Amino acid sequence: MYKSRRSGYAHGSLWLNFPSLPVLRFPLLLAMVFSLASLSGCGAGRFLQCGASSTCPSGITPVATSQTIQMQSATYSVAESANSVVLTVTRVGGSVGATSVAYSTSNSTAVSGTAFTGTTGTLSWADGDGAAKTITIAITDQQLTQGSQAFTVTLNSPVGIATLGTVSSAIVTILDNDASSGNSSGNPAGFVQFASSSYSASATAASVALTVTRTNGTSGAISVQYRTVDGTAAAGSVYRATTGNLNWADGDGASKTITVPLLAQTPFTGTENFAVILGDTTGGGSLGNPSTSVVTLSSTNGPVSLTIDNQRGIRIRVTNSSKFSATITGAPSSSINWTLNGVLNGNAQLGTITPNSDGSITYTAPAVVPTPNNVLILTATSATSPVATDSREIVVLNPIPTLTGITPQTTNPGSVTVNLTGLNFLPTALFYVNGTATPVTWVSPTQLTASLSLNTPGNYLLQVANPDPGYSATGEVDLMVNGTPPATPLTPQAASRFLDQATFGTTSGDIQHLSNIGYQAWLNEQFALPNVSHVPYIDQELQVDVPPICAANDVKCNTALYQTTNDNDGIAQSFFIQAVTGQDQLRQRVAYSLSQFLVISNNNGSATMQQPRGFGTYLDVLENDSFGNFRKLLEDVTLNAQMGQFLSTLGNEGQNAAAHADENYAREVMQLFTIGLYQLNADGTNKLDGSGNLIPTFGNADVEGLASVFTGFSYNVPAGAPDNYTPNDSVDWSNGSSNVGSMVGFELLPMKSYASHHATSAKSFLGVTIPASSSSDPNGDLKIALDTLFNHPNLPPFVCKQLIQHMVTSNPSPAYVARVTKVFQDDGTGVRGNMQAVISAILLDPEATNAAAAYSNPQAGKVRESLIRYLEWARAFSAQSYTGGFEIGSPEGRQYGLGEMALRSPSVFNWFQPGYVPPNTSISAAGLVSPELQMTDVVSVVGYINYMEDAVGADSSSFNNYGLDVFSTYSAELPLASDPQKLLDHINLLLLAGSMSADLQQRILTAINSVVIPNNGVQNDLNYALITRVRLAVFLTVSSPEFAAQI
Amino acid sequence: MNKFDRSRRAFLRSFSYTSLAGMSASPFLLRMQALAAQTPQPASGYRALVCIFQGGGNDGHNLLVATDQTSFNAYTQARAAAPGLAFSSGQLLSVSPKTPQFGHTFGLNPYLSGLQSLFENGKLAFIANAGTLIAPTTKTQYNANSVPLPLSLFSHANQSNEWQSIAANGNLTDYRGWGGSFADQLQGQNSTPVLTCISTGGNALFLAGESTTQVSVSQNGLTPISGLYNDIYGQTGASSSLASVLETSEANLFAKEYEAVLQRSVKVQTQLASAILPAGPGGVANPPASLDSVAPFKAIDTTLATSLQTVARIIGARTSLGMTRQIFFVFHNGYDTHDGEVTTHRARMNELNLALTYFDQVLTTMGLENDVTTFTSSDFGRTLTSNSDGTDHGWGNHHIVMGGAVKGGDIYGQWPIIGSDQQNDVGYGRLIPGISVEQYAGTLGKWLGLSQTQLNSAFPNLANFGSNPLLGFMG
Repeated sequence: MYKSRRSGYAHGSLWLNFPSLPVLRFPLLLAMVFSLASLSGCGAGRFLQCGASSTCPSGITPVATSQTIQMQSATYSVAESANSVVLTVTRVGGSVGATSVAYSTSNSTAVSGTAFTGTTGTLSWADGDGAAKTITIAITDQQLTQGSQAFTVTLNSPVGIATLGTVSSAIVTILDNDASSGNSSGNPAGFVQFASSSYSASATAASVALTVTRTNGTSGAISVQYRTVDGTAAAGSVYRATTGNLNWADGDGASKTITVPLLAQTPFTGTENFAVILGDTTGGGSLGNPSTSVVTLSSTNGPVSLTIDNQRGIRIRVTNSSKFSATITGAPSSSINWTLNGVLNGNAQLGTITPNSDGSITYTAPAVVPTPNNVLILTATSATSPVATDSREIVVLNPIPTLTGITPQTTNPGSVTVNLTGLNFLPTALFYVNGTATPVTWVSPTQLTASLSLNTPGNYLLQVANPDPGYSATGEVDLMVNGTPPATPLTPQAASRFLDQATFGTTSGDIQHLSNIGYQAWLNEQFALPNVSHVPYIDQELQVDVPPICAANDVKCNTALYQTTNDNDGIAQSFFIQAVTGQDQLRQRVAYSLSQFLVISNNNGSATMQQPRGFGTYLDVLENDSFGNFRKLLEDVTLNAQMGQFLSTLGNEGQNAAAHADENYAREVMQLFTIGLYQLNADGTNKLDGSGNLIPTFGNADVEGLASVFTGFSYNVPAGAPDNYTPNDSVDWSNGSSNVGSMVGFELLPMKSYASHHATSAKSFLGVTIPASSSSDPNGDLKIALDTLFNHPNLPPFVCKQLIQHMVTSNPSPAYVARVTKVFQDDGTGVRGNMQAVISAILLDPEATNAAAAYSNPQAGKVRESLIRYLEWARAFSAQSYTGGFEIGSPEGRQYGLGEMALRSPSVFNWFQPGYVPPNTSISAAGLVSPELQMTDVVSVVGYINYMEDAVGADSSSFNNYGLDVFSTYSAELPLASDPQKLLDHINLLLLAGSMSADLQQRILTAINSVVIPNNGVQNDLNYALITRVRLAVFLTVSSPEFAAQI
Repeated sequence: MNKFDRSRRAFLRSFSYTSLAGMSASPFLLRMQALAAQTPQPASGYRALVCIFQGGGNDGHNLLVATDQTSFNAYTQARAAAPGLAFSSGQLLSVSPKTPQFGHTFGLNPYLSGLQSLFENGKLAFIANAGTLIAPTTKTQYNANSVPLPLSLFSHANQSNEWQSIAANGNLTDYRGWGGSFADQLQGQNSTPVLTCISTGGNALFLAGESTTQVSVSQNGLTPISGLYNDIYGQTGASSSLASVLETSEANLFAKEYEAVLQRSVKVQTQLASAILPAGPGGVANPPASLDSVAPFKAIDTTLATSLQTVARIIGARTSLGMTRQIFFVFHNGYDTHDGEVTTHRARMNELNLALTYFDQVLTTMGLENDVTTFTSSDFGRTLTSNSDGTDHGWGNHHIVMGGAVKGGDIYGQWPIIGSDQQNDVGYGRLIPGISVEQYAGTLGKWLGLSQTQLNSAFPNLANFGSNPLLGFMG
């Protein structure tokens, strides 16, 4: 059965590139996409969503679409006496393409055949049909007092372009009309319930009125309590919190009204909601259904509204196209005017808008990136009601360049003028020789020239890149300078192996450069490279991703955007962009290693997701401090507002006698970040007491004492723009406690101290006592605590061993750890915690650099993390992003994916722990650890291989066809593909530092050779064969167990 | 044997290493074989244990609340600083254990109405104040450090390991769990031994055995490696190349063991694919949709229920796979409620209520309600006192056992007296457990079919808890 799912699919994108192959395959491909969607039921949102919680079969790449189908409401109620209930199903996010969905009923307390008629069916939408559909289910009137009953209607098996939305099922409550008697008369007292489960009002109205009815009896006096509950709207700013009782006299069957005053305190855009709930009843009255009603407030309550169906804006490269559509409600016959920065239908500079027959429009980006601002606003407006309008952001990016050839390809030592030919070269194009930026002259979009002085014989790797916005580099091309190359400090194999330990992956240019200059010079270059902040990218991604677009001074809008968005795409994209294309590779690899034991996570649902920009500051802290001093790193981590949120230092109250201080950070900063649980020798081994037992570093009393130090810290709310806020300690402190505030910018700043919330009691920890004090000194106490941790004898071996484990080997010898520990303790100038010295000591240690010793020792090395394996592929083959955003999405899916993602671990314990021993293995038998094997199981190994098959096989059409944004053209590998051994040697050097076993080489060569190079003179057939050889060789290498180990 | 045996596992391991290194019959193996020979032939029929691990440390103080005046006052007072953290007596669901608990009355978490029904119907019991212990421990002994204590109390990583492993010694490098240890003894009764231990939550220490290797499954059972069954980039012959690449002989231990996981995956996937029941019509019904009863009325997450559905689908394959004993591990994360506990814990309780109620219905439909026993475990309990927004790491905790074979409607173990400076309170309401994990586990192991000798072998500290250390909750 697997066969039929995939045939004609996996290589489908290739047919588009090599059209000489049978043309009929193309429509077949489209048909396959549809049937795949129906078979898989795969959640295909903006990104690949085949994670642990969805059900993507192997190798199925979801179609990129934002369309969803869902129930209009998750709850319905119907009177038992009604003959039927009608549920509404909506199509959201556009109407392009055909789609359908099945539905079925299932019993809950209501039973099919007794209370309702069980029903199944299918709802279908044609291409362009955006209308809501209905499901009608028959209800049976039972002459029994059975109470309210419920059943469920579930949508499933979406076919075609759309996927199921979040509301994929609805609960229908059948209200009993045979109410029980509630009073002495024996007659029923009746039910009380809302007349409707939803109300809406304009936010500018003075109040909203909700009706409560009494049904099925009026006997006796009854009452019911009610109160309001916050939804997205907060009491006090949008509406006034309201509670009370409604009373009915005996015989009174009239409806009653609950009036909730609305406040125009805080303006908002879009809609907000709150609920009113009914509570306890008296007098025998029963609570009917609905007992809850949701009030939706609209900021604009005009009769006509317009929504752009695309849920987000886009990043788009010049000359590429993308479709948009909009839906008008209230005046459906109105035509829609589309503008770019206010210009109707755009123009050559901004890009053009052309209508399609289905009512949508196609935006085509201009030939060059607009200046001075490459961020455009696309606006759709109702022609008849200009007040109905909606906008999305479009970010126009530079094109992807291609380097097809150079002349000359060989030259004699001395000066040479090199002609570079290719496509899409910009006048601002960048040029690299062995990874080093070099001046170049732009001649035309297809030609560059460079005057080089190449006096040393040998191989030079040339590469062209177009700069930001949308930085994208070509593959690397060889220039050979004749003569005998001088001996270099390093062999290419040694350089490649070092880069495996020090970077996110090896490139040919980096190998050449490093082998020419040696380890120390390379480290010095890396230490000198500045850090690139992640926050600006996240900021822009939020604007693209989360309409409406905020004006700079719109505090409410910006607060919602920056502080409640739950959008963690920006940090993921920024991580991948910098990991794949950034020059500061050592800084990133070290920061990533730190992120795995100084853990913070924005995995789905965590509070840290609420402040995406703030979350970016944490990775910035790690990267900034990677090359500084560990003491500063420790302080910056401790005071980072998102760490404060993640481990609940933020708003930790120290002066509440009825509560103790939150111990979360106090425990984990000791256990995981600095000193660990057990006393260590300087070589990282455990100290043992006289009986051979481990010696704890701290007890719970230390945790309690240290917890008091970490009290009295909360958000630092900036004064001034954009909200002209005047900081106010009492307000700002409680904003910290409630996680989300109403001001802009505090999520970016380190926490500040609030003396009146800091504990003044005595604090004892790790042998230090801060005496009780009449005055509160949070910063002074913090300094004592962090100094104590920093100077603890466990800290150097604890930190150094983990850095070694993440970068070099899972089981460093005690002597290796001791050598690095010594440097941590004193860098030679009396400084403790010098990170540059520590990193150098780790990477330059003989145990790290001695390849022969490592390859001959079966216990050397480590399992290469799956995320790093992916990045090694992307860097080795100059992977490019179609959208410029490296929109990889959520690669942490185990069933189809990498099984992990930076900064998204399930808990503070990372994806794996440093001491993990895989049971029943040769590793456990040898008394060794393998941390990365903790996240490696029979599910994840398959998920990785299937994911990599798609990644390796992607091309520039894969984004539009399958949502796969990252691809390689393998331009440097194609010229080698006619010589299988040469191709494999190249891949072997890049991915395995030349260490691939002869056995594995033979197996991969067999596969390469099985792809026959045609001699029919048809160029496309030849191209197809060559790229297939490359992809097969790369895929088999990245799938191999040998590549899973970094030795 | 040393009465307080902390190092026993290291001892055992040293022998098992030598056996792996090539010795044909180590003392350990001989002993295991001898034990196996003593094993009574299993009763006919199928039995399974399902462990739900509440990752992060469930707040047992809010699972089951003593509502007698003294206890309830202490509870309310300790949690007063965190609004909404202490339930009102009106919110709690009344449960009355069959065996009186020294005058205590009880209320169940208001979001566990399904569990209330199961308790009333005798299919669910609570275990009071269980936790990691090496020997019975009093507060005096704890303070004087005069009795061996589990290592690294109150630490997530260590305590979750100790809960899952077979002796409470807290060493993070220990790698044998009691589920795996049971399986070592029982897997020989299965026709497909490799499917004896199954996790839906990745590698679990609980299922790590000396001779048993656990298998992880995802919600679809196991996905095949596509390239082994399909063309790769249009090359139909490439599957055999991929297969050969995945079985290259490796010298480096890390490459070798990664390859071992791959090979196990290929093998197990084939066995499971043909046997596992489908989800939904014709197989195991899908979990129901339900809404939180509190605004903003979000849909209750069904991930836990879906994991239990997967367990049921695999149990449904027991006949075709020839399984008579199985042990499952299901991970339910998100219990580390230092802050925002009111909302977070309600979500977990809603999920647990939905999932257990659903699983009971599924098993009943399959006629297996008496053959499958489901129980909870967790890192530790939490503090009774609040930190004004949540609670911190504790020790002893209350747990749930569910199934037709459970002597339900009762609370096992002595209910702890709570409140400031009580006899079992080591600070902020962190409870010294009254029942050890080994007593809890041993009771389950006996039901699964382990002999007393096997239990004593699996649980080296069990004998420290008296001549009759097992609890009476299994029929």
